Formats: sequence, structure tokens, C-alpha cells
Amino acid sequence: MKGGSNVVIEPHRHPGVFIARGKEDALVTLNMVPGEAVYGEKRISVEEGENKIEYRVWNPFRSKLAAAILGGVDQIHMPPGSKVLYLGAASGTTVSHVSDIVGPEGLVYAVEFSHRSGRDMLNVAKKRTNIIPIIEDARHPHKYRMLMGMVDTVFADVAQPDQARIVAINAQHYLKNGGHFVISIKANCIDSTAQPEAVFAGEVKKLQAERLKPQEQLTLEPYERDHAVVVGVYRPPAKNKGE
Amino acid sequence: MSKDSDLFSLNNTYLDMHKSYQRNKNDNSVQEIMKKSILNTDYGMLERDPECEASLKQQKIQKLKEKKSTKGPDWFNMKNTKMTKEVQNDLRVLHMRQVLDPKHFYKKNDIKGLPKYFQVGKYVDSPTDFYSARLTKKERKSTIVEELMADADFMKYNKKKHKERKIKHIKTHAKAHQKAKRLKKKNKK
Ligand SMILES: C[S@@+](CC[C@H](N)C(=O)[O-])C[C@H]1O[C@@H](n2cnc3c(N)ncnc32)[C@H](O)[C@@H]1O
Repeated sequence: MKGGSNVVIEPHRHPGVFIARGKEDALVTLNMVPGEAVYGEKRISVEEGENKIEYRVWNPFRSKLAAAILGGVDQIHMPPGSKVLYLGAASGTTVSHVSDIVGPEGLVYAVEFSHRSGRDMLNVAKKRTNIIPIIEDARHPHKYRMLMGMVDTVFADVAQPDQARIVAINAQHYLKNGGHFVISIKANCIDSTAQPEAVFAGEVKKLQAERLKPQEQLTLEPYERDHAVVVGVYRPPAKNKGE
Repeated sequence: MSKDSDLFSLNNTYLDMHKSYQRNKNDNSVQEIMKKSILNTDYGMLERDPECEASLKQQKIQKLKEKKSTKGPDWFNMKNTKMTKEVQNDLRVLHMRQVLDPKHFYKKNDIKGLPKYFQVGKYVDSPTDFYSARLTKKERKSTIVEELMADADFMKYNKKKHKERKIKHIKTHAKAHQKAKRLKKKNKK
């Protein structure tokens, strides 16, 4: 969409997320730092009386979470005010949108072990007070316990063969019972010789063994190839069978 | 020292406003003042100020009203934008947009009716944009409808479609007309 064109912003089905409707639709989030883009994304300004509000366009080709939302995922479990542990923050592209979504009353703990990506992420976190940047290996969650509190949701996009285990130990440390997880799985990162479907099924089994109960799975076509997102719940409270 | 100052002296740490009023019973000046007030002599006995009570209730109603006029905290209290003619037309155009651009294919129309909560915004020019990624000054309008009217390609396409429809209409009608004529002839025979 060209600079200067008009759009109508509407709430999306997912809390904290919006759609900008014009000649084309775009997924957008409410910019916590009006006037600034994080990675060159487009912005939309709204004048509401005196206060200026700004939204940032969220590109599904650059963010798996956005791809999942446009793909119709049922739940992302990160409404405004919630606390999210984000594993594999990279340079903070998606993290910045999660920061917009959970808003000033929420928190994003963003873990990334590469110092190079981490530097960009630190710059994003400087302007966004609800991001707590953690430059550590997510395989050793005890190393960042001083910075952490319990969270409502764990999001993981570390693209590692042992991702299920990484999520499990982080959940054991920091995810509240009945909390949720959202994991992006890149099939060839786990096993480039097997069929993607078989890889996804294998990962789901691993999660189940760790009391991470998958509730939903979807592929990210047409935005990513051989990628799936799995959403589920951690140690759900036992159902009362007596009733 | 007068009696009054005696009453408020700090040697006597217990102050009873009610009593003090009774002592002043002979003095009408206070009563005169109080006559016009909604506060009566029992005011000091009340647990709560009835006026404040009323305003609390009012506040609650006001809050509820505000709540209803926004989408709530899950969408950062997005307001209920006032529906104007222009906005309504824009929303209608968005609703029909599949037919507006032959080169653009939309997924199934997921827009149902007019939205209750929405905001009207504009894409911001970014300094890193190429000029082709911006609308020219002439193309900049305050509504989506006006933008379309200023779009030469769109107007051309629209005219063409309109003409096609007109021709089709005439043709189908001509056919029907001839058929009717033939029928009439047959009936006469
Ligand atoms: C696919 S990228 C994530 C992209 C990001 N989620 C986004 O959408 O902007 C994966 C990232 O995970 C990081 N990563 C991989 N293994 C990790 C580990 N054990 N601990 C922390 N970060 C890790 C990598 O450095 C890389 O930046």
C-alpha cells in the first residue's frame, strides 16, 4: 500500500491484533513506540482527537506467528497484559509485534543466544520497556532465572533438532500450570530426510511425553514451506471426574 | 477568652461537633446558613455523604457507558468511531472490493456488515520509500472512495464494465423482444 492511502482499522479475532482494510488487507499491531519502525515495516497513523495512534504492518513472510494467524490458528494465548517467554528471538522482528500485542501491562522475556542477532534485539528492547532481553542459551534456563518470573505462554522458534526438549525444560522452570505453548517447527531442521508430516508427528509425541499437551497444529503454507505451528497447554488441571 | 475558643481548646482533646451545634442553638446564624443547604442537622450522624453516594453511582454508570463505547482492554479500548456518510461509503466500497480490481484476487469476503469498532487511518510515508511507493499529492484524498475516483485505471475499467453490461442488457432484451414477436405471429395463424 502506498504512503498516503486510506485504510480502515478493525479489531482482529485475536486480542491485541488488528486488521487494516484497504485495497489490500494487512495484519497490524498497535505501535508501542509511535513514529518508529523496527525493521522497515510500513506504519499507519490514526488521528483520534488530540492523541495520535500508530499501527505497524506485520508481514507474514517475515514472522511465523503472523503466518499462523493469517492461516487461521484458533488461539495464540498472548492477550494484552500477559507474560510471554519467547525462545529464539533473533533480531526481534516478531518479538516487537508480541511486545505491541501484550502491551504496557504485559511482558516479553526474549531469549536469543547469538550475540550478533542479540545486538539488534537489544536495540529493540531499549525502546520497549516490556521486553526483557536475555542473551543466553535456551538449553540452560537456570542461567537466566534471576531475570525471570512465571509466564502465561512459551513461544519457541529456535529451529533446533532438540527444540521439544528446550521447550520442556523452560516450561518446567517458568510456565505456570495450565499455561500454553506455541511452537514453530521447521521440518528439515529436525530431520531433512523424513517427510515433514512424519517429523511433525514425531515432535508432537515428544511434547506429549513432557506433559505439553498439543491442542492444535497447522502448516504455514503459503508463507513458509514445510513449517508447522503447534499450540497446546501445559499440565492442564485434572478434570473432576466425580461431577 | 470566649466560650467558643474554650470549646476548641486542645486541653480538651475530645471535640464533639454535634454538641457544639446544640450549644449554639440560641444562635440562629448557623441555622440560617444551613437552611438553604441540602445538609441537615443529622449530617454528622450519617455514615456516608448521600451526595457522594449519588456521584459514585453516576461514576459507575459513566464507566459502564465508556466501556460499551470501546472494544475493551483486549483491543486497547479501541473506540466506537462516529459513522459519517463518507466513512460509510468507504466501508461499502471495501465490502465490494472484489469487483473493483480485475488484477487482484481476494480470498472469500470475510467482511460481514458494517463494523462497530474501527478507526480510519493513513499509511505513513517512510523516508526509505521509493517515490513509486507513495501516492502523489494529487492522488492523496481523504477517503477511499475519492482515492478510487482519482485512480485513472480504475475509472477506465469501471467505464468499460459499465458499457459491457449495457450492451449485454440491450442484447438480451432484443432477443426477448423478437421471441415475443414470433409468438404473436404464431398465435395469429
Ligand atoms: C528461525 S530464527 C527466529 C526468528 C524469529 N522468531 C522471528 O520471527 O523474528 C531462530 C533463532 O533461534 C536462535 N537459537 C537457536 N538455538 C538457540 C538456543 N539454544 N538458545 C537461544 N536461541 C537459539 C538462533 O540464533 C536464531 O536467531
